[in-house]
Amino acid sequence: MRGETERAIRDQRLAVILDSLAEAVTIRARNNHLVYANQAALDRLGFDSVAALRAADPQALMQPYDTTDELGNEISLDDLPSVQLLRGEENPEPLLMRSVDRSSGEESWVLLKATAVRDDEGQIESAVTIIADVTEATQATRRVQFLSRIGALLASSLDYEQTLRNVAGLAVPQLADWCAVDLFDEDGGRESVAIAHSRQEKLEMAERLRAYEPERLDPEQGLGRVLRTGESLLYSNIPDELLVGAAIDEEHLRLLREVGMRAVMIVPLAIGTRTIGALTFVNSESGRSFDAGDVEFAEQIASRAALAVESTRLYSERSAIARTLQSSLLPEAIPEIPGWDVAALYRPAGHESEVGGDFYDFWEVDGDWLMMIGDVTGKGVGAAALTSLVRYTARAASEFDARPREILARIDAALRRRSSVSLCTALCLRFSREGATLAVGGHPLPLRVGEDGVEEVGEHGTLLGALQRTRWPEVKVALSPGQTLVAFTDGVTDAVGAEGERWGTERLSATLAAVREAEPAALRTQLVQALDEFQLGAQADDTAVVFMRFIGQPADRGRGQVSRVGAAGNG
Amino acid sequence: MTVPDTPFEIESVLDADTGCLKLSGELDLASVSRVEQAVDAALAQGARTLTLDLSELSFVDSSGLRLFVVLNDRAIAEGWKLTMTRPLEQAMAVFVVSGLEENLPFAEQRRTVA
Repeated sequence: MRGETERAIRDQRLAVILDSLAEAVTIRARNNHLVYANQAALDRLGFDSVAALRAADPQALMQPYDTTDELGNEISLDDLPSVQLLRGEENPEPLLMRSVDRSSGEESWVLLKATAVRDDEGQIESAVTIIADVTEATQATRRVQFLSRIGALLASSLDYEQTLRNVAGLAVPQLADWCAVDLFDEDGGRESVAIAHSRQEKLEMAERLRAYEPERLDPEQGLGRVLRTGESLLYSNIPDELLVGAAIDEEHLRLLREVGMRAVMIVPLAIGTRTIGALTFVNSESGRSFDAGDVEFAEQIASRAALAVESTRLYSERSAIARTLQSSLLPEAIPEIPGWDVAALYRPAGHESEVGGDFYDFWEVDGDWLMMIGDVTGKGVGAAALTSLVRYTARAASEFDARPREILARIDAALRRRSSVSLCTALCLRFSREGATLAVGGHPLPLRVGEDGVEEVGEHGTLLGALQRTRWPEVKVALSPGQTLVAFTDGVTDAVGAEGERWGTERLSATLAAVREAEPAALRTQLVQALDEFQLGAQADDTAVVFMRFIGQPADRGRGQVSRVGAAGNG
Repeated sequence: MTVPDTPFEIESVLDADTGCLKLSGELDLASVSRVEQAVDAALAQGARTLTLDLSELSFVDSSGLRLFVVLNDRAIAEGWKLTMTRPLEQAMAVFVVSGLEENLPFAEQRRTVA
């Protein structure tokens, strides 16, 4: 009797001490019923007294919560460390558990550690569980991990739509049950870029819902409001009345209810003060709500995503500008030139967002044709401007005097008028059905390729743009039908091989000699193949080559007719 | 990227008012700014006569050619004297065919031991 009194006093003292702890403490008996909970545990479980708790069914105690582990796997009563201990398992691992209050949607993270209480014979009598609330620390850690994964993901693609789809995919189910990405255009229209849910079948529902959405965004609510204000929107609790109010018809309402939207947050994708789109996060079947902390975190994700979108957009715009600029510096197509069969090769070096300094052009003056190929020093927009100047100076000059050396002299004069030293190499060829004349300014001499082999033709002249003593000797090039003139820029001969050696004129000549009677297109193929085999890694310089096969007289016999005559002769 | 087996190098020898920059290896877009810096440094230290010794230069591209044209213009405009010695044969060919040989202050002969 006395012993029992002492024990009661001891228990009471212990209870007072336990009640003062911030951590929740429970004791579970062998029948899995909770027989004790300190004040913190009672608060957490929502009971007024230990007596009421004792009467509760242990299974029912978990009912109000959606409980999962870190990976989202469901946790049942049997998985709890205390229950494992009572089942006879030694030293169960502490359990990190996420529990979402099904009614409030509130998410919390707890760390459960259980210790066995044994009787005098060493049999397990009960299990004490200490429940530490680690919500803040866990959310913070998971957010940091998430941001670092997002960071890697955003850096991995230059396709911004793909980037945004990846973000949406990563957000579910960790951040939300649904994640959608929309981009806005300048007229207030919007484009749905991505919608993600962890379960595929749910996506069809989203597709059907999309069909109900108006073309124009309503500036007072939802996406339209975010677009107008540039501020995030949080609907932490969506009551059924809201759905009824938003539904267009019965079917729409049925769909909305089926999604079971619990909470929604919409955060802007902003570049400076411009809102380019929005991320929408929706919680439904998980029952989770969103709070201000979630919004803040979503905004961090959005700001990273917006930056990635902007840089990929800028990059592709830059590439497009470079391509446009580059193609404006080359003829759109090789023209049909009577008496000649022509092919060309153009490969800018390096980044697609850069403009190269090589160019070629064909144009007609007074029934004769002119071809120019050249190389301005430098790269980028400066080189493009210079190329433009050279190309149009040549075309304009040829209207007055179409002799190649006069055209080079005009280009030289135009370049000299520029304030900074602007140099250019160029080869100018004037040709007709009768043959060709050419002048060269600091440019590699062209090769004449035919059945007799390969040889340089023409005479060197002065680099254009800066020199006092100049000369551009004009040379008439003798060509017989079937011979091909190959004019190239130094990117071809300066290409670097595996041993650091340059490709050089000799390798170029040997390559062409091997297929010397082939048509221009076949010569081109051969040259590209040989260069690619030789060149190690990326091409360092721009490469331009023009192949011009002389077909010659008579004037009214084109290439097609020649081959038909040949076919008839064989038959 | 390919590394040419003759990397570009600059060796500077500066006396009271003369400087000599020996350029060896392959001169291209990537190495042009190094030459410009070396020239600026030599002029900043008071050199009034600058010799570019190209006797070990094996390759020069169009940006290299532009550099020599720019330096020649600068020397005339700023009133210092530029001389150049001829590069190795394959690089010299580029100066010859581009007409730069007759427009740049090359010393008449390659220096010979005599």
